[in-house]
Amino acid sequence: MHRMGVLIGCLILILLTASALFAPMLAPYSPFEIRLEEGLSAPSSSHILGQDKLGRDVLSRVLYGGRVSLSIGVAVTFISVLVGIMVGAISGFLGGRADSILMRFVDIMFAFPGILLAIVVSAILGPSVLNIIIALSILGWGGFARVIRGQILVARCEDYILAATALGLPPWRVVIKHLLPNVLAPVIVEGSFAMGHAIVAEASLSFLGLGIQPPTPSWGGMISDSKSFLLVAPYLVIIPGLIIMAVVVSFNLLGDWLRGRLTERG
Amino acid sequence: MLRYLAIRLLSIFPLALGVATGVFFLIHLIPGDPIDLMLGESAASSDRAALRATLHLDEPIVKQYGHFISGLLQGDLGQSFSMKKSVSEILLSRYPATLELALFALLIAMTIAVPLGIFSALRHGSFSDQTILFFSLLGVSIPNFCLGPLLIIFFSLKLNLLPVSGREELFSFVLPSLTMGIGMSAILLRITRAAVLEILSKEYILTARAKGLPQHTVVLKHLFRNALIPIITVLGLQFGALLTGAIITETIFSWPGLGRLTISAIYTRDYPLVQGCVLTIAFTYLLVSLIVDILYAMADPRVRY
Repeated sequence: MHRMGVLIGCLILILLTASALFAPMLAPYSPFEIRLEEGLSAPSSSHILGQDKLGRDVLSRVLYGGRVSLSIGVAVTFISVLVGIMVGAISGFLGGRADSILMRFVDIMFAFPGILLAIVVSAILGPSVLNIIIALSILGWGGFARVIRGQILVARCEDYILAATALGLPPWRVVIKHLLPNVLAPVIVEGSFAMGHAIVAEASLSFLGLGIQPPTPSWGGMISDSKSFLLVAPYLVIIPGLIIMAVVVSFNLLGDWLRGRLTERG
Repeated sequence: MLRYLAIRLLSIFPLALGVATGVFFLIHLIPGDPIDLMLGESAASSDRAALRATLHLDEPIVKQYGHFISGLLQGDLGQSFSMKKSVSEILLSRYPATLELALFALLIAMTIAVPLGIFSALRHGSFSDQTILFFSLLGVSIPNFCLGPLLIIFFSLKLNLLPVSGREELFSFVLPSLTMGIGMSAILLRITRAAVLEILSKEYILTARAKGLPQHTVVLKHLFRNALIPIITVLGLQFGALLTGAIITETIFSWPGLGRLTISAIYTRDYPLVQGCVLTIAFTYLLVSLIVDILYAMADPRVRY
């Protein structure tokens, strides 16, 4: 059951990534093509997933929206991991005052209500894809820094690290060549969950009107656009909602599975 | 224990000060002049200057920060720009609404998660366990802004059972608290199940069973009490997430709470009000994590500080 789940999850992710990549070829219409007189039409043979309030083809918008949502997810996770590893490694390896200062800083970031920080940062920077990536990365690195620091604190006392230090290797080499490769497993696991979080966070910002701006399609923005038409056209909210859910479920399945595989050592 | 509590209680203040400082400078970085938003861009420049002086916005930012912090230390959060009332007064009127949602969500989460989690662990590997796990995965993965509208479609529009939005009616709280509670129950369920599974392998459970204790005694006295620690931890952590989740949920359901207040304060560049909102949320979060630590000691006599 569990392995089946991961398989299905991976399949969903591959399918959605491919359909986002090949959106220009797959989309039956332009995602921007407005047909006001056909607004809020239910799914039909010419528009499989129906049309939104402006008569734009929902399927095409879902496909193009995937490009935005998935690439933001990947970029945010990548940057968060990178910054988190740097800060966590410095904190865990140096210890002492640098460690206390960095970790108190992370504490303050965590006391800051999550999405609120992203809201404020994207209000400061103005809404654009790059700025959303920055805002969500600011939100995301702290968790990775904590995980890496914890791992390094444990690994630092292991014999192979003591040996490497005793051999006279410079500290940066010990960290990069010996410590990091041994503490990466939980980062990969966290990274899988973080992808799902980042995609939800982007969709939340877009839902509040602070994320991707119209007319660019994004999954969260599509829900926000259509939330006043729940009664007449519930599918406009249900379709992007289900897709976001499917992506998050898949990343969570993957993360669960990776956790089982990668962290059950020793 | 008392010493530890005193230290923890005192450590809340530097953290809150850090958050206050962070929010003060962040909000001043947001482009847009509150004066423009209050008077409109066509207002006479003398009026603008006068208002700017009354709000101390003409002073250097460091001086404004000094005002803010010294006010804060005296328990004064200042006056809201847009609502012409003191920030504390506004917060007091909105905070209960958010707290109400969060507490009901917590209650919903615990009622669903704890019994199901224990049941799931006891039937480990069975069909019902797998089904519960599958639904908990869905629950963890569904964002509030998807679940909320789905609940509205089903309970309000199709079945016509519950009000769509607002806080006027008796059962208004049900859908928003469900929206926040379901996600939380899914996380809590997974933690409860994992904790119970681990405890099931302990020798004292074997002993209890070998003594011939009935199942309900084993579950209540031996399993549940020992599973409490991870459950409390997650409850504490999730309470913070609940307060943040309130921002989205309150927007969906037009709930007059702290979350929606924060968003609108950001939009109107109402600096004192944003500061008050964020501080209240952060302070609640820090306080809850302190309560969690106290609960640890109460739930587990082995915990000593």
